Amino acid sequence: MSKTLREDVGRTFPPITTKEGNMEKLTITRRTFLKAAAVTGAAAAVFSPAKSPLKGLTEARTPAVQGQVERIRSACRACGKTECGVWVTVKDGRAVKIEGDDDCLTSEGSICSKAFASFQALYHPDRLKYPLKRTRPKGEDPGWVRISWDEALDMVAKKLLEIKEKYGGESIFGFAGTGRQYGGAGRATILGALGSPNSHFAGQVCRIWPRGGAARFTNWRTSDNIGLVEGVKVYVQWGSATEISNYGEAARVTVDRRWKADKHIVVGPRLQNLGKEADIWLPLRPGTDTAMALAWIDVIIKDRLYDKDFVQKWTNGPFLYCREIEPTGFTWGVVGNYPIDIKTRLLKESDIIAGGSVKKFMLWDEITKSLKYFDADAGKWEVEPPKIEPALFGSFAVTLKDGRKVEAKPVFQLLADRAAEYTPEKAEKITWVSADKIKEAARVYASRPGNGGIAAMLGLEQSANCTQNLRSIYIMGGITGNCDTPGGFRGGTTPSPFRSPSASPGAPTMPVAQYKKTLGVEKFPLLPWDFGSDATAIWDAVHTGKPYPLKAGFAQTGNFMNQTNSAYAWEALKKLDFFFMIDLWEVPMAGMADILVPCLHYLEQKWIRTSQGPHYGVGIHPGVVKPQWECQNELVTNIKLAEKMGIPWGKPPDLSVYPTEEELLDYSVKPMGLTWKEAVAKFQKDGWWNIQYLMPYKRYEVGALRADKKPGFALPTMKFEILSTILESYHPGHELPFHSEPPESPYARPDLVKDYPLILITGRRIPVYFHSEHRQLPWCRENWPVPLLEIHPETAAKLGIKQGDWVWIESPRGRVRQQADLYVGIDPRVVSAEHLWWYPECPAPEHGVQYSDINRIVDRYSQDPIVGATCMRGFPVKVYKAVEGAPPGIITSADDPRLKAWLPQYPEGGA
Amino acid sequence: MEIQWPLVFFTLLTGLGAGAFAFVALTEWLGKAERTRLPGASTALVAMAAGGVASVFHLGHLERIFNVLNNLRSGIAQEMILIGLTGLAIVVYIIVVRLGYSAQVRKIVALVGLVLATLLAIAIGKSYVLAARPAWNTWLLPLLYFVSAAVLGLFTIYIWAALRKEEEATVLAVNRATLITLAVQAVVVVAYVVYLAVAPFPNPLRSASRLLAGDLAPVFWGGLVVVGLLIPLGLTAWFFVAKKKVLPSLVVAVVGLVCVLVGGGAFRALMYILGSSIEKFS
Amino acid sequence: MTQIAIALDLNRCVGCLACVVACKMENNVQIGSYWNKVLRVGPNGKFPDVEMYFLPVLCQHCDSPECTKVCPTGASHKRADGIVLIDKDKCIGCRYCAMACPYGVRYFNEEAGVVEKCTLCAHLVDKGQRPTCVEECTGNCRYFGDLDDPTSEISRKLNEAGKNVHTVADVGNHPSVKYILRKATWRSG
Repeated sequence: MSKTLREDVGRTFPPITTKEGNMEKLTITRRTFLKAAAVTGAAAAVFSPAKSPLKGLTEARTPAVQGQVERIRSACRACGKTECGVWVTVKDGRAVKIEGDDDCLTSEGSICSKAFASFQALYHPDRLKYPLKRTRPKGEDPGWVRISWDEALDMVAKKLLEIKEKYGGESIFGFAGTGRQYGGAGRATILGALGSPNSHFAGQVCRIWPRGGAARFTNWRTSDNIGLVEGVKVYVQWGSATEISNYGEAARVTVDRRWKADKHIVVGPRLQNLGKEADIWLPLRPGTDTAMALAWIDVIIKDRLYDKDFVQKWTNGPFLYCREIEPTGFTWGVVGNYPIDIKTRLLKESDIIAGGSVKKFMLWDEITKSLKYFDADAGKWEVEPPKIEPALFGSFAVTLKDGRKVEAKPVFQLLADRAAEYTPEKAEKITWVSADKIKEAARVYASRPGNGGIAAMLGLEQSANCTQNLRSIYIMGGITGNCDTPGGFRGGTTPSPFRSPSASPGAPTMPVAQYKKTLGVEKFPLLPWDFGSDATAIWDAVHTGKPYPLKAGFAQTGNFMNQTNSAYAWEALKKLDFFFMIDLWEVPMAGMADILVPCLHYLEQKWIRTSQGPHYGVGIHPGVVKPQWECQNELVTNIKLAEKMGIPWGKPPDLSVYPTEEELLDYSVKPMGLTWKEAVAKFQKDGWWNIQYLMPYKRYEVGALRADKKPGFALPTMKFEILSTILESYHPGHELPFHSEPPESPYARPDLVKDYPLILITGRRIPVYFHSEHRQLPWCRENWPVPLLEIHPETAAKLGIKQGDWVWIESPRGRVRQQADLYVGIDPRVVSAEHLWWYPECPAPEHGVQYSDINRIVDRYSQDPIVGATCMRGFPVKVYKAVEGAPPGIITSADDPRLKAWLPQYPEGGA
Repeated sequence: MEIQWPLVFFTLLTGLGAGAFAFVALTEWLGKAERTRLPGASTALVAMAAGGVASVFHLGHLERIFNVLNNLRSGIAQEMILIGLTGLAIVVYIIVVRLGYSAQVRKIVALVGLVLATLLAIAIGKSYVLAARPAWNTWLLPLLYFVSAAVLGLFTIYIWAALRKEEEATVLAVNRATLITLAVQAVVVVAYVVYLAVAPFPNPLRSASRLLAGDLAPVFWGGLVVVGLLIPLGLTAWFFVAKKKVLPSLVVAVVGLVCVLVGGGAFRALMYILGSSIEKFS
Repeated sequence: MTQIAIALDLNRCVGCLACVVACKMENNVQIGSYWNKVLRVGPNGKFPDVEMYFLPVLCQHCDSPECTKVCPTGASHKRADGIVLIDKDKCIGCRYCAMACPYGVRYFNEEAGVVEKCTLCAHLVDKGQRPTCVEECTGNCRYFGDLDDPTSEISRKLNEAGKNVHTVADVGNHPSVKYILRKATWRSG
């Protein structure tokens, strides 16, 4: 008997509830047929003409188009990542086809399901078309009325200035997300000019602060992305899945380079789409990444697999650290919004000699058996290796200037000691992964220096220990010789050969004194220095008025669901005196706006784009089709608003005080010696610019990482900081990585285990969606109609849950519903829910956000102690069957007729 | 797959028509039930026409119907030809009877019609025999349709025999024939269930256990077995034993027809639900 | 003999669904119909020793198609180059072909009243281009060409794959679409 596709092993992906496609499209419904049966033989009069079997061929679905056909090259923006190159075919002004651009060095022709659905967004009937004003109280359907642009922006200007006058600029906060990156800077300019240090920023939980912060403290801010495009020998996906997320790395490049690599290692709690092909899979307990990384480091150090040269010459590994001295240091202003004070127990010349330099860091030379220093002011060695052999291990007797004899250890020894607290055997108990597997993975990764960087992303970032998670990864990658090497940690494509179109050289910047008012600064003292305000603190301020009231919001990208507790945030939105939003859709948050104005879809937008990952590409959004209705480039909206508020934007003669879009675009490409029109024409003809020449490898050697052009890193010691002096100064005890239990883990809070026995992770990528986007696009929604909770079949069986059952996911904060998907690719003790779900088909203002949005149940105070990222992965829940079934009124299958109502509505006149 | 109701009604009505006329033809040859023949043939014709109309609701382009003769290997083409010819035979027969042609002529026309009706009753089932659907891929299926046409036709004749007050021996003969055919049908149903249990490409969706004890059990046991088989069997058996002393023949016939229509509908609906393809990619 | 076909390397397929929506865009496929759909097979096994693959399913453009046998109008036909197409001007929408198909890849378009399915992008192939799903697959997992030509890319890749080449269940119709799957257990047909 041959094997067949049994019901339990093969199913639609996802398990949507349409039946077999071939016989489900009846000419008429059963109901109308039964009417017919009663009048068998009668004419078709009872049936609607559209369904009559006697009707002839209906009109073609695609309107007849002929004449002008163009194929236009563009960057894609169906997600907020990568910048894939695409070709868009336009017929008589209507975009009709999109394809990958094989010549694009960034993406190599990659294009995803979301891009193919672009036209359904561009021409969606529900897109915002005109400026709107609310007429009903917040919390109800807004009752939008259409107003003119002038009216809208006059009102916004008036209200924001009023509120600033009465409560101070800090009482106005912004919203910043991803997706439309043309929307970020313009809003920031206005807020800065108003004097507000406060923004709710997606970057707090995604890349900019978790990865960027860890990198800021370790090597350089944007070092996170790895040079996958030039190939890696060992491909490590750690809390990342760029085959689906395309984050900094196009899917095609991801898959291709995996197969060109010698080995593929995946670290993550669930079996992933490319992870199914991994040579080694470490399904660790959520939130234990630092323990895992330190275990690898332990193996690497004990097996001597680190790159000794790099560690000695370029890290602060050789610098001596003494527990018995007081931390001292200096003011450091190389990066950040203002100078910070470094106070460290690293042994300095000033500790051993009266009047000695506080910037000369001491190390032990094995050759002369004496102390030598590195000058972190001049960036020079007292004696340069290899003339000296800086000790990495050991403990050395040192006499301080006051005569005390103390012991000092190299930082690398401290790292070894710390890692030894997490041997693979100890890490096994913490991470739930066998010691043997941990050792195997570490040895494969570090088999030789330069095997490749580690693609570590949101799995590590949305954790209450994200800074240490990422620091331990960067340290591991650094000491194994993957810092700014081919395939190693390379960061984004930088510098730009052009200026940002949203440059605002004439706008006043925020007074430095305002930074002190950044919300969250008490708990997170480093936030104002190089980050921003804490999202949790923002909502606390709205609700409680402490430390001072927040009265108004200005959202241009971003949403309230992406971090902290979204139920708490939703209630806060109702309390704002004024809320202004620029968007494409009436998303839930837009339903809380006082004034809502439309912006452009990426196919209408003109902009210049750089690869987000290290692919060296610069591309263009040429504005493939004309803007529709009264939609406007949001930068133009920003400038018009600034004008109404008396905030200057440009600085003549380079840029008018209130520049036009055209002027800004010309201004942006001027450094490349082109006008915008020329740049667009060149791009169309020659494709993406390759700026690899601007990004040499090992930039730390050639001074490309510091503004003063000195070799080394933009850090207080000028070295790759294994021991972070910045963290030592502001978060003592955090200068070296350590594992910290997720705040509500089964070990930290055993009291919660009984009622909340499962560990929840959230936010894994869905191929057809980009975070909260695309729920209203038919070709996306029909493929993934509802959110799925992955649950192991054994766990489900114990709970009486079957495939496709709707289940409640409940934490101490509340509960939401998602649909169960039985999945053996996850630990029976762990469940995986989707994030950022709302249902456009549900009524305003909530649009169903109350039903399945997983962030309603997170603990907003489970935060990383440095950057405040919300722990959204790795907290306890209970799961049980929802006897109520699916939330009321939602689309649950591809057969739902409401999907058809969302099909494109083309502007009249064909364009 | 989802139940294709237009086709359910198509095969029910066409089966009834073919069956009814087949038995009209037999009465012609047996020289019995003279008064039943014309109404029986007319009913058969109306049923076939109604069945044809029902089938049209399944189509996307009725106006192209004559393209159907392009591929004579297709079950649909064969059905269409047989429906046409059978219908024609019935019309000719009715004309021949009304114009008072001799018994010999009537018998020849009836024989032709009988052959055509038999082929038609098999054809409407045979069209479903497809390698793609294991639950259908058996000669038991057209046999089931054939026997279904027979019981539908028999009860139709039975009604007319009762209404036209044919002599008791005739009515009893019709009753006996119906009883036997119902019994044969029961055996074939059992055989089919056994086939389901051993069919290649086993799958819970088209298993015997789903039919007998799963979500389909109520329709199977209630609709097909009890209503479609046991009640008409009981009635005809009772009539066989007790003659008309307890039950009027018309009651047996009408109730019987309703039952086998329901049972026939239930069977056809179940057939669709069990008719998943070997690779259920949905 | 010519048999144009697609082969898929399922180790490279990551279930990104680009091919599903690309096909929709190329052919303006109705909502709810999938000329190319992607299933997740598994994961199977015992955690963490589990395996999984994604299975894109499209018309198999069979060597001896079940659908063309039963189509009464001849609308469903197989071209000389092996592509199975539906002539929409002949189709009466009886859906017999959809019943006869072992794989459920034919869809009735209510508005047009005809049956539709993957055309192997014949409109592109006839211009010397490749089907959109082949062109746009992010994993570069699709190979295309003439199975009967040993020098074609598809033939070479299948040769390299050796015994790791599979098809879906064959009931004598001989599906032309080939699936390459290494290591994981093939679970169709």
